[in-house]
Amino acid sequence: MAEKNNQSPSVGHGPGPGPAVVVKPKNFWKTTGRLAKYMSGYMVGIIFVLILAIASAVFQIKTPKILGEATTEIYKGLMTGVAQQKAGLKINGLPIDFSKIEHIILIVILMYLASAVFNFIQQFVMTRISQRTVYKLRRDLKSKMARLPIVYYDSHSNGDIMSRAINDMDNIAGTLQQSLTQLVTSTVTFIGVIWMMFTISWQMSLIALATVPLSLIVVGIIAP
Amino acid sequence: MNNQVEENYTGHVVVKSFNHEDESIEEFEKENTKLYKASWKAQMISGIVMPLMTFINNLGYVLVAIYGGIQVANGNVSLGNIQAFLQYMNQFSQPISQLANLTNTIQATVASAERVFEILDEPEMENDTVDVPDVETDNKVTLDHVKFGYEHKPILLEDYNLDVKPGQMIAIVGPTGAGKTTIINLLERFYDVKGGSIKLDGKDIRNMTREQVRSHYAMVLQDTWLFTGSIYDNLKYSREDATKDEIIEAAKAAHVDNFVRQLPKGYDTVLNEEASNISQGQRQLITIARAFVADPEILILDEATSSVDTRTELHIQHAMERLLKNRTSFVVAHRLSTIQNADKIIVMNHGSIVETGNHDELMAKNGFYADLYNSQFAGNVAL
Amino acid sequence: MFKIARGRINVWQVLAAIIFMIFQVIATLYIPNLTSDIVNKGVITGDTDFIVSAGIKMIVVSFITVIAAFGNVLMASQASQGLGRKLRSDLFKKILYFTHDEFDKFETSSLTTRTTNDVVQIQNVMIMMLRMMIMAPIMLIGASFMAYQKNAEMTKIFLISIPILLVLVGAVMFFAVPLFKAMQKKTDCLNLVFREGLTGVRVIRAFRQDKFEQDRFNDANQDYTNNAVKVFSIVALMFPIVTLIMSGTNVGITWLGAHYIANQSMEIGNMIAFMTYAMQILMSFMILSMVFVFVPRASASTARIQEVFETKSKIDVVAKPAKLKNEPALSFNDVNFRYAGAEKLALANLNFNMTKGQTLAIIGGTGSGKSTLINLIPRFYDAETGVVSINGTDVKALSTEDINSKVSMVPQKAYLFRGTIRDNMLYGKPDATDDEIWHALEVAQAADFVSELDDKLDSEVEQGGENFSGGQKQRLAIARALVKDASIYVFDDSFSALDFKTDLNLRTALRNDEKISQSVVVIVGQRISTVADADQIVVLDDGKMVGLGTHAELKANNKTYQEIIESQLKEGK
Repeated sequence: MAEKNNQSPSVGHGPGPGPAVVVKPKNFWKTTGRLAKYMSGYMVGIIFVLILAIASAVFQIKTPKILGEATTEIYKGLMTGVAQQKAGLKINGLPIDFSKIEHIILIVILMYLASAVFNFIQQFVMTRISQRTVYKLRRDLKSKMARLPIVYYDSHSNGDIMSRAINDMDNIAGTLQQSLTQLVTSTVTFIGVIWMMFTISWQMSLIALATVPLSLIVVGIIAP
Repeated sequence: MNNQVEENYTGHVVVKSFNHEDESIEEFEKENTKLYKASWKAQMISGIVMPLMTFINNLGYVLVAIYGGIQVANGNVSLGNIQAFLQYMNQFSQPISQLANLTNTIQATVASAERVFEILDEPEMENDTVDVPDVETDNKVTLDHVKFGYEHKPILLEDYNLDVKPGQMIAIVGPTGAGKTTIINLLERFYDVKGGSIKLDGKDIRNMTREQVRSHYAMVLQDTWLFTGSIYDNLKYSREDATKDEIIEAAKAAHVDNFVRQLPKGYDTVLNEEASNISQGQRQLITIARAFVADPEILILDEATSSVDTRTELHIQHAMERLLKNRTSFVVAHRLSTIQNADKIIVMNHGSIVETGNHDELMAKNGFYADLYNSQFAGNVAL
Repeated sequence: MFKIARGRINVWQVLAAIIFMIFQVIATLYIPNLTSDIVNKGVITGDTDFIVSAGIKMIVVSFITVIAAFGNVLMASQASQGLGRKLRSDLFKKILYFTHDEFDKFETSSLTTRTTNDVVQIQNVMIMMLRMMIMAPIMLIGASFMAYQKNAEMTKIFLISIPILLVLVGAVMFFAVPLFKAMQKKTDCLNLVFREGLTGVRVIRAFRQDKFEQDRFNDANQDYTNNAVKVFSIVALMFPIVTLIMSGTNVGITWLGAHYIANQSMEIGNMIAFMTYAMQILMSFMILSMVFVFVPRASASTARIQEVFETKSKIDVVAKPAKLKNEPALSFNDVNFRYAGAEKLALANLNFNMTKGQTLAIIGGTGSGKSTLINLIPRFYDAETGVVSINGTDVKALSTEDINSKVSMVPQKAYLFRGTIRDNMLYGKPDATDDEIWHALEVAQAADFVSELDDKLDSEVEQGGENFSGGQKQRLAIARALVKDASIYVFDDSFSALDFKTDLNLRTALRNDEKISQSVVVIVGQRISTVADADQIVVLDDGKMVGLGTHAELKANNKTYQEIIESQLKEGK
């Protein structure tokens, strides 16, 4: 059935087929290092992508707080208005500082735009890097096949070699393309969000963080 | 499950003719139910993660809202900040589950990479030369005290000698599965000998590159491997500098030209993998034509023809005879005419060579070969 | 999709899943309402008690969400997996009871794919439907309603953002989908070239074409990579576009909201709630657009499965089967046969009559119709005209079970099942003793190598018997057929994989066997030596019976037979 599993693995948990059995690598770091060596020609590109990923994530994180300032402005106007009404003043419309809100919204839009553009460029570049890397890997594998003695062919099933050359390669391509930037983005987002939360209120942040162990337990126990 | 399905479908005729449907279905239902139970549970577990995470998140949300509400009311925190904070709360549970997924994905990928690297790390063919001096000889091929056995398997050849003069035909015979390909493996240097020496024109083949060795040979095997490409390209495959005329000439000699011209696209017909567009026998003819194009000094030929019709069979036989003419050849022989005309016959059984000699010598010896030969006629009314 | 699901899916589970989903959506939608209340009535007025009571409500409601979600997932996964189980089981039964002509229409691997992968596809789409796809419309309606209630004016913002979302996502898909299809082709090409490099390694090396292979692979690799880069570059647009539209909507809501709040037509908490609803509405649209991706994918699978179910056999089921007699006999009377849709008769005018203890041999070139003739005996196909009868009864009047119980056949290609050798031997006679098995093995010339195995009869047989050589498999298949107590034993070219000597020993043993010698034996062969000692020999040429008689008779006066002898004699002497 090998021919059927040749789409790149979809990332993310959906209501798909049940959780797949995860095969643990024998020597994680050594293999990772070797894979990294394959990508070493694209170091500049990768660093560029990582910077973009971080920037994109940072913008994504910053915006709610800035947008929140707009809400605060509205709220401020509201409170002043209510106070004024209480004081018996007759007002038409609440005294909301629209020029300030306008200013905030403009900044937010720019940040969203930048974040989106960064995100796209980062994916755009990463696609090229990952596909090129796997291209090289495939090419090397093929030329290796030409240097292997016949005894290798005679002692390994075609199905096994094919599954390494096709399915495993697809796996690598998919992960390089998506998971690498996702790893960076998720980490940055996680840290960034916690940071932002703390800048707002450390007490509230502690409350929020109290739920983390619970989430981890759920993820750890239920999702394998 | 998959195996079970595949097995029953492949053996469909057998299942049916033994009236075994009900037993097979019963077995299948057992597996099917097992699969059902396992998979709905797995699916449910993976499906419940999201709602649970949302719930935990909502818990935090409420707590923050309560605390934040009090703070805003007291003027310690701005409302916009609470709003932002609540948005952050939604955002920060996401990376957690994402990272959890990522660790699995990355581990699987590194395991994949490991499997690929495993192949890249396999030992390659060595090009060590050996200290066997060249000798002056009129032998085309010489097997000199050859010792061989496959890795981790018992030794098959020990101290085996064979002289092949130019133009001689060597037949290799033996029951099915007797290891007749071993000789081919050694001649073409698919495998190297464990001891002794194989010489081509007096030079040990390990002192030549594999390409040099193979340039003296052409092969026609029972397995009619052709690549997905045009018939023309497949013919040219054996010698890149072959001219078009030479190729057509070879195709004619191998009875290929005729049927190829009947195809709508002629020599440009692309052979597909399953080769549904030409018959098995025609494939075999193409492999013979391919060997013609190579025009080798030495020919390696497997006479077995996969099930083909009588006419094609005659064509194949005919083409093979032409191909063999005036060439040194090693033939895995299935036809008695070939065997009897051979200059030497290598008789194989259970992987090793049991006898060598020409037909008369071997018959006189009254050994395995004679036995094999006679069984062909025994019990038969005189033909 | 629905046609296939009807009657196979548990309707109650589906209904329950939908009801749970409705609860889940209602509860989910109620939460922003509560948060907005917390802000409106709690935070702004500084009413802590209200915040706490609303908070408790919120926890209760979100707990209800979890319970409802749990119920939905439970029902949805059971319903969809149940559908899968039923589909698999129906397919397997249907296929196993396929007659020969039905089975011929499909490749084995294709049938396997249909029973496994295609069913999994349908299962997956089904659970998607029962979870996301039901949720999307309910959520869309609910969220729109709630948003409208919060502020009718502000819902206008969706009139801008939803069309933009749909157009952009549609555009991306429009460009990406053809490329994805092209990618599938290029993947196949890449696989093909690599696989050919494996299967043809000896030929490639013998002709020193390694470089050509490298180039060929590199072209395919390059082609694939270029296409993949294109596809994923386009797909890379998707995420930023969606995020941008969602964020833009949020910004728009804030901007409009500020004005509404300024003229006191909206409360501030409602604005926050509105944002949440906005996100839910946009998400629902996203999910709905996914329907267009997933449903077509399943529809191909559905069509493939449906094709199996709709296949009808041309072999009529006999309503009241006649009773099969026990006296072995086999006869063909004026039998003509043609394959479905063929112009030419595949077999014409066959006539012969065999009785107990006789051996019939069939000889002829490939494509002369030998196997076709054999296939008429167990009624794999029905004769067009004429009568095939076994043990004196027309096969068309017999049930296939009865026919199969009296005909023991060794197909051309031996096939063994996973299990032990004994399991395989008991296939045709579950109560056979070890002695009977060993006897059959001896006749089939398989006793030698079986007794050399460590576990003898209990030795493992891998799927398809792959751990045995071709000749061994063939002999085991012969033994399996011999264990069965039948009236007619048919060997379809079963001896050509054996060397001359084994062939001879086997035929001698057959002739001397007590059980077999009391039956009718049919042997298809290519070698004169295989058929020469038969009681009757049918000579086939291009589907026509050109000769019938003993070896001596045919040798004396049959031209085709003489030609066959000639061609084999030429080799012989």
